[in-house]
Amino acid sequence: MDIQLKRGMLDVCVLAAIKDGESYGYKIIKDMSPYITLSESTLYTILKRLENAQMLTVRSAEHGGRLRKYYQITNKGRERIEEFKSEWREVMVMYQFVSKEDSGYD
Amino acid sequence: MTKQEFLEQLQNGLGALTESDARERLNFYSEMIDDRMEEGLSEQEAVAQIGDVNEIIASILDEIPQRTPEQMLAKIEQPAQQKEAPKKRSKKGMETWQIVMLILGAPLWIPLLIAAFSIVIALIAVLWSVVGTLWGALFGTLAGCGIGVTLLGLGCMIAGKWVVGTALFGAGLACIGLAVFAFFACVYTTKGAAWLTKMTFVGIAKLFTGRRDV
Repeated sequence: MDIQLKRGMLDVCVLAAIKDGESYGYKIIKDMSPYITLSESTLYTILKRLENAQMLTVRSAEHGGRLRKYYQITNKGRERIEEFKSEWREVMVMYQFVSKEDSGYD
Repeated sequence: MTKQEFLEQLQNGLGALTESDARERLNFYSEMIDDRMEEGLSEQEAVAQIGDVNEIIASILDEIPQRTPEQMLAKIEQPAQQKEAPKKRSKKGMETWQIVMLILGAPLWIPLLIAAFSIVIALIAVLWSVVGTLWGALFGTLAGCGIGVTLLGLGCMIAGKWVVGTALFGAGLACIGLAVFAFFACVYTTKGAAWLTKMTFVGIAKLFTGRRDV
């Protein structure tokens, strides 16, 4: 798959993983694992990019005698999810058209 | 491998990164290992799940060339600790500068904006007056003359002037026929003008919302 396209989609997946409440790195990976396998270094890059794009905010909080980083989605992040959904409705329509074309030549 | 060993190897491998960047990444992996151990994995198992440390180093360093050559140069020339702060400040200064220019330039760009908008409105008005003229001059004249001349021809025929009457009647019918063609031509022109007007406003709206559909 086109690397830029996949990168953009993974960004939205991570946003979706924190949309129902703040989460932390390992929990994000676990929540996504039934659908998507994400390595730690990939997640780190995505979180950093989303933070720079102000789609999420980060806070450090103490947990079990150590610091853990928690990620919260922003309104801009939620907008991105909605944008993604509407974009992909369009893509799905195109996909159906392309698939139909395939069967036409069988 | 213990957590300590893993983090030390990682740190050694990330020498090319700035100190703060490397520290942040080390904290991230440390947290990941701790969270796995908290879930019941042994230290060895937790570290093993994170993956091969050399592969991780390679993938991190692989992302670095996304920086522009200027950024790479800046990294070499500047001491590591000073690096982040000046870059951020200059970016923020640029934004403030733009806002100030926008406000100071308001007496200039607001009239220009109004002028540009007026030109667009004027062009649309011209377009529609052409459409109106087309309806009036082409369709109106042809249909009006057609009906008038046909009736005149009929009148002449009733009055017994057969030759003139028939000629006028025929000419009148021809005009009505042309009017039918003109009617369709006018309808298409009107549709075209409506489409053009709509696209103009959609285009202007897109300029402001900044959205581009593929």
